[in-house]
Amino acid sequence: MKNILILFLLLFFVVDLSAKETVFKNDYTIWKDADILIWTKDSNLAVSPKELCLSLKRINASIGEPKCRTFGEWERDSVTALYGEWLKNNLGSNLEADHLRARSPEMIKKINNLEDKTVIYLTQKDNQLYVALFEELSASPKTVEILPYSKNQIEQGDIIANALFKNKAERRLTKEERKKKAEEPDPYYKETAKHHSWVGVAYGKTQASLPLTPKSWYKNKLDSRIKSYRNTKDSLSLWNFIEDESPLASIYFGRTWYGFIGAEFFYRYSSHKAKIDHTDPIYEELDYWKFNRHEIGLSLVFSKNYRSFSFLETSPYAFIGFQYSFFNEEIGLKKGVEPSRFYETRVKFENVYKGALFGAGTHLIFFKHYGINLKAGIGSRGRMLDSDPSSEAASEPTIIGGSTIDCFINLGIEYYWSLK
Amino acid sequence: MFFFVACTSSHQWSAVHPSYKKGISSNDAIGIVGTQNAFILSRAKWFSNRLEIPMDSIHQKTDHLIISNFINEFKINYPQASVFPDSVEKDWPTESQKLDKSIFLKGRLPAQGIVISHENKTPPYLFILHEFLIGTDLDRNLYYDYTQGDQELEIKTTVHHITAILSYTLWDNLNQRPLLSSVVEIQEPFSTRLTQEQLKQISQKAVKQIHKEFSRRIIP
Repeated sequence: MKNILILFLLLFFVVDLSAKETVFKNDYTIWKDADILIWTKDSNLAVSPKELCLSLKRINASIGEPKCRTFGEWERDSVTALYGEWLKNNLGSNLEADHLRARSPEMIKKINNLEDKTVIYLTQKDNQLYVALFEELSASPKTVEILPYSKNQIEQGDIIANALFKNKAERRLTKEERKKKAEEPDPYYKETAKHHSWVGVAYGKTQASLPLTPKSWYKNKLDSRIKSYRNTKDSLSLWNFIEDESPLASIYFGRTWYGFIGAEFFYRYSSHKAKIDHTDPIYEELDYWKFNRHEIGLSLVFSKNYRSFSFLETSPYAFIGFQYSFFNEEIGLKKGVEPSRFYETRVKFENVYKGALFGAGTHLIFFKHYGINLKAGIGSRGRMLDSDPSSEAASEPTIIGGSTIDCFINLGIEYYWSLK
Repeated sequence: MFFFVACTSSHQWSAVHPSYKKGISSNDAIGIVGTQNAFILSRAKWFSNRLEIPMDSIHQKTDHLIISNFINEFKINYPQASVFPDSVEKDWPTESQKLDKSIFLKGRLPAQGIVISHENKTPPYLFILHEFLIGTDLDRNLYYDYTQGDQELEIKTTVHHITAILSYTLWDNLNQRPLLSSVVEIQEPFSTRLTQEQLKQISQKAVKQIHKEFSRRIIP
């Protein structure tokens, strides 16, 4: 008993170490309770169907009760005989599936009618066994393996089973299921949704200086401090008055039409501290001073959809839009301190600024509904240009924050409704 | 940008089977198939005027002139070659062979498993000529690249070249596989006068080119 066990172990050892060459391998299905048809043009059969079936059961537990037999119909047929002879001459290494394609229409028809049966073609050449596996709907073999040839039928069965039938077997489908499956669209070919609607929340960062641009562009603005509640070097940009770097939160909803053009409505919030000059004793009375920025706007989105995987749709986009910015001042004095004259006459921002923004980003939509959005862009806010300048324009006071530009980046999570 | 790429892209004009490792030698027996119906002459009137051959016999005469010259040249390079009549390819299925992404060569090829012989001769190789096109200032892209097939061809009044475009397959007769499939383009400069001698030179050049491709093992 022990001897037999050792023999068996040895056998497996030999099988696993045996040299084999895969010429090419495309996907094929191993069916549970498979029908395996052995086809050869050689005078002797390299493996007996019975031994092959026993090997299959031994090596692949999921294969169930396979049925193996020689494929007599094809061995006697003149159409398959021609192709079989041709295969015998042409099987070799360094080939692609297309080199071994059956060209005769009758032969292709015969392969197409295999349904869920699997054909393995065997031919022996110089102590090697060439195995080609055929499945329905493919004129070329699905895989070709060059395996060691063994006179021992049990070993040969194991070699073939190990090389071709190791993967998990799938349940065979009923006639109705097969019919239904044949009509199912390919997962990669499913029509992508024409219209997307989404709602999302995003979090990111905003700052005045654009990455990769020289610091000197911003130095004046960013170094500027407010003296006596209102004096700065320059009042064109609000970054002279308030801190530019801030976390940025936004909520938005949007929609694309025909996977190309779309619109997005957004609200963004960020909070900016006033840049007071701490050396100035006037601020001793001050507890806090900051501006909350609220922005609402609408942007036009141009996008394109790519179906990267069956579960993922990628939609890069560019956007351009306009926005209104509101700076809501929050200021408080220390307890029990009377406001100074400077406090009363402190700088006042405009009620509303109008601006534009543009940028680009990408939506990643998983399983049709769950999206991740990465977006970056540049936004501006400035004076309202839609009112006529008055005749006394020259004498008018300068508008604070006439041109305030920042860039932003944010990452959002989204929910999608995809309408076909 | 895309226009630029499209204009400068160079295609691969031949396909080689992995088993075609050594080029065929001049002593190999080759059966020449398809020569009777391969010839096409475009701009027949232009050729008729230049060669002073009447229109009603221009196709026939140029066909004979060029093809017979082509066969003779071929036989100089491969003395064992013999011409098979087109009747042998009567039952062969017509198929497309892919040479490059958008380049397809269409022609008849013998069926799998059937060895072609004629008059007791069974050569190991067949030279199957699919098309032999003669014209002026032609571009093979317009004939074999399906993405450019719909382009309209402008006939220019000034001719710079006489063009020959040949498509052929070198067939392994014993194992029934295409060893080498190729589209050859020959441009023969033309100035003012056209002689029959020039047409002969074109077929000589074509054979030279084919000979070069045969002896190159793997064509880039």
